[in-house]
Amino acid sequence: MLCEKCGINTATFHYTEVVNGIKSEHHLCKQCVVGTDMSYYTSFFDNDAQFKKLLSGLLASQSDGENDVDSDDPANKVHCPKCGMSYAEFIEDSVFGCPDCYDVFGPLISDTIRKIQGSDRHTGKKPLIYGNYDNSFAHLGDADDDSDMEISKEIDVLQKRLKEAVLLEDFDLAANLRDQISELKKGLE
Amino acid sequence: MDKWTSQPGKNNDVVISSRLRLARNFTDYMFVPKLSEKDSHKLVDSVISKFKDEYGEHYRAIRMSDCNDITKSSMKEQRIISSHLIKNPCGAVLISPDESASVMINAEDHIRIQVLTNGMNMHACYNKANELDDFIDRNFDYAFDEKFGYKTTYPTNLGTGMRVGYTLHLPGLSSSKKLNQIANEISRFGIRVKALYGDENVDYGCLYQLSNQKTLGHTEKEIIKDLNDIVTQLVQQEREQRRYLYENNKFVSEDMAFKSYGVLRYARKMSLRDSLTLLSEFMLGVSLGILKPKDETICINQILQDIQPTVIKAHAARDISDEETDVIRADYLRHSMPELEVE
Repeated sequence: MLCEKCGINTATFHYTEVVNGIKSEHHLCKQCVVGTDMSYYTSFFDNDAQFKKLLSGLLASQSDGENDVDSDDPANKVHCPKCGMSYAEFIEDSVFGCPDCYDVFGPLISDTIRKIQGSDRHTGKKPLIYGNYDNSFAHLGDADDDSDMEISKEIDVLQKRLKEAVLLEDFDLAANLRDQISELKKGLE
Repeated sequence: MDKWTSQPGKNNDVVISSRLRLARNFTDYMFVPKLSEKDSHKLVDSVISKFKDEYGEHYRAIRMSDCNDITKSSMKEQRIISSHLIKNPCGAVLISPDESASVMINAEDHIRIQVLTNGMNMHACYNKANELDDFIDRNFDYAFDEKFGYKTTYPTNLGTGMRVGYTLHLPGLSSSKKLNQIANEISRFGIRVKALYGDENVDYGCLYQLSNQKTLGHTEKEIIKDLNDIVTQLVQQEREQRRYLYENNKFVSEDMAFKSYGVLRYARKMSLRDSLTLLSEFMLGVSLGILKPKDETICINQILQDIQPTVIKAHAARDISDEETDVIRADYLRHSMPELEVE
């Protein structure tokens, strides 16, 4: 039997991979084994490749079913204005090119996301700017000593929100935030 | 400072290690596949300098461009960095002194926070990762969407951007051939079981990884709780199975434990595969009380790291053949094996 990777040498290394009860057999020669991730633990990190195949498969089947990747499908005309990623490219690689891609392709793939993830709405932690969300598991013994630390963290967050308020030209909110920040800073001194 | 591998761990007889990973991206950069070299460097520089301002030299910064292939592979075998990072010369990693926490920059995502602990302790992983996450959040703008959560390069990571995984040692369940059935059942709960080594009939090392497949729609706490519930049950089943196998055939179990110990303690040449199999049998023997080491603490995670081929090559600091690697591995294992109470 020839090595499945190089197709030149005889395969001397045989292994079966079992993922969720599904077996797949692999046959490699010695040279290719060295180059392949047969070392311990490594494959754990590389989950994404497998999911990627699944996703591009689902996405492709969703976009019509027939193989005509013709330009009639309006989705094919969609491009991300920021990074230039096209819908076809997105389906092929199953990766987003930039944060804006989510706004561009998000509505098109909502169903597929739900199929893969079992949900299409985030419920977990949010960035600090979205307000406080208690997501820590009760810390042990970090009650009082850290209060200064907590205040300076809060100031950081308020400053970020201030920046955003100024950008959005919400000057009432900005003034309010500025006052809160100076109030907190007094407490630190 | 002691490495994380020498810390005590809960359910250590079955759960070898816990690992948690958070994927994050910044709003003002393209994602890694579209990120220019110039922006990549800018991003790396700014993250490293923020860490320096806050933590001083606490986190060691390593740029991929400063590493040779052996160093990179050896870090990967020690689970400090991922294969995506290896491939990106414009990437970097920040590592805590005990090597339990690392922040990969420009791997699959701009930021990958990873925390490892010994045994079963996902809450500690989460608290540490959360702290690092908040620190980065305060200094940069995360890409986030109310509906899709944290925006990640791969749609399979969006939402919490969190993947939690346990490495389990399951010699009992795998020898009774129940594992396929269990893996199928578990996958219905959105948990993935992966055997690392094996062929048709045998697993090498009996090491399995369980991790959450879904990242969207559940809170971090729920994801961790779901995985913990399943793993706790598996730990119970594994212990019962080990006990059952031992009670039913004491001579075979005892013989296997002592033989494995003997080979590990005296062999002069060891392949990785043989080492994993024998270590598994040795650990089983210890957990059943067949083997009674004088020094109870066996840092199995450290051993598993140190016997990896590239780790050995990196230590040797010169070109060594595969045979030499096996000799060095045998030598290392000989010295890692504790003395026993009763011979």
